[in-house]
Amino acid sequence: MPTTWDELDALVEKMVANGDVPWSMGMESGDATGWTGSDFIQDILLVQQGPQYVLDLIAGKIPYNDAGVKQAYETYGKWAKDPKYTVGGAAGTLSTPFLDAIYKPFADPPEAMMVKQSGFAGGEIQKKFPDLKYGTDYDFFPVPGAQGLQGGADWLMAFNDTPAVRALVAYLSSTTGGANWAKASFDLSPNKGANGQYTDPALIKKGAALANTQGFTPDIGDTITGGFGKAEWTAIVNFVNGQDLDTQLAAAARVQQAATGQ
Amino acid sequence: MAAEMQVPTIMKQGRTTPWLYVMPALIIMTVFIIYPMLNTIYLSFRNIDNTDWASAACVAGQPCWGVLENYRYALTSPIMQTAFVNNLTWIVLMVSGTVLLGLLVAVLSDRVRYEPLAKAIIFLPMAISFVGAGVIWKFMYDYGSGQVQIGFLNAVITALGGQPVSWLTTPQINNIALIVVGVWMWSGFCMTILSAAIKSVPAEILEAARVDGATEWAAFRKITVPVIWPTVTVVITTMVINVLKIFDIVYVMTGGNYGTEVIANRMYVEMYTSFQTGRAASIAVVLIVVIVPAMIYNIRRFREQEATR
Repeated sequence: MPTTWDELDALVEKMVANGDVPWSMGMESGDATGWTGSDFIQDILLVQQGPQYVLDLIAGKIPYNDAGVKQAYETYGKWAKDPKYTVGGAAGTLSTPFLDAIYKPFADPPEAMMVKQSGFAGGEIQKKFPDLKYGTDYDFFPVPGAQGLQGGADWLMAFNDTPAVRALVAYLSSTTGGANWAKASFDLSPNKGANGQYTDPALIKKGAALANTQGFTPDIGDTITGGFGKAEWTAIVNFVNGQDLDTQLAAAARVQQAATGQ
Repeated sequence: MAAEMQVPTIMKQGRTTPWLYVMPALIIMTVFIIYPMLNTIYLSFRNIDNTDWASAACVAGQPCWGVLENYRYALTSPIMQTAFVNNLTWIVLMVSGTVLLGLLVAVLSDRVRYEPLAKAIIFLPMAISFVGAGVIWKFMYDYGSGQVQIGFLNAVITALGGQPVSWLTTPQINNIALIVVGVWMWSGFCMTILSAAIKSVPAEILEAARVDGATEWAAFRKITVPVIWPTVTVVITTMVINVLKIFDIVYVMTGGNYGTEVIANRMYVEMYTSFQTGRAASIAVVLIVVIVPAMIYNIRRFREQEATR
């Protein structure tokens, strides 16, 4: 499994030389079409530029049409727009719903070798293919060379101020609470008490990546208010559909600057 | 002259009684239609989360319309201009498509013994929701990446040896593809009304024309069309109003991407994806302003038609 981006590149080329299609990509998602693409871009940014760059993008200090962002888009576009690298090429990437893209490597014969997706994909695969066993039939590796992770989290909200509620909140935020949450194998926890306590094999691997990461960033489009999320998706969708990258990035940058008050 | 009959007290209506009868309907109308409309117009002059006037979003050194800042976005931003052009394309193609197709089926089925069957088949798509039609046609237009084509159109194309086409993402084709769905849905409506109008053309005049040697086409053009013309204009204006509000088809099939954006879809996106309350409200007001003339014309024409009965 590749540990640096160059190794991933070499792996992709090896798959192509073997006659296989490396990537399965699916952006289609109703009126949220494009979010898988913008997630991929953010992961590439975390590899090429690092978490502080992404945090500066969120704050608006770096405009979205900066050279670093353009480089990330071009890296992504090299794979997403080419039918040699991605099932169906640009049209396939745009028309395939994201769930179908997760299932494509498991078709018979497999339509692709890899799919990049966030943690929920493991659960979807288990639901759809209950006979396949994680670890033997399929596995995952964290984004190679990533200097940070991106993610989102659920909120713990207290609606009533009663002693029982306070006790529950205190327990879940404590170390033991985090450890027991991990053992319940529900999902990752931001509580450091959960580190090393996971029992599900996939969660162990994800938990280790989370515990050792050098930086954590929220999703750019989700964090910037005022319609930047939609602008980001429009930019990636139009870029994959063949339009000029600079125009698309400039349009998204305008929305970003207006939203972040720069 | 007979003496005026005394009206029993129980039948006398006071000044306030009519208002009491109308009050429930008035209350419902005010709460659900008038208040929201006035609030929308007010919100269109406010900023993104209704904390200040829209002029607060002005950036120094950039064009700004002050308190009409949201209208500047609704009228001049590139995506809205795309939406206006698309709505115009929709109006031209879908209205002509539905009216002509409806007229054709109405005229042809008039002379055929299986008329009820033919009309039922054309009318059937009106029974399903716009969203249902969008989902069905999304499968029809489906683009499979290589192996199996589950989309009907692409399956036919690949069976004949061609390359599959991505109908919904290719810039000019996708608008036509969406309009086809709209025409498929609404032709039944136009056909029903036009069929009734055609049957109201007096048969004697047509017989007389045929005896005089007129061809079918001449009889149609010179007799049928002028007689049904008022109905045709009402149908056209009703369809224009429907098409201006088109949303479900675009939302379900492309989400407004790839150059298929329309006004109603943009209003939804601004409100619920980008959470820009002011902009969404201003787009809604623009849509109302565009539709109202069509509605006034429609009602006037309808009244004129009713008056001739």
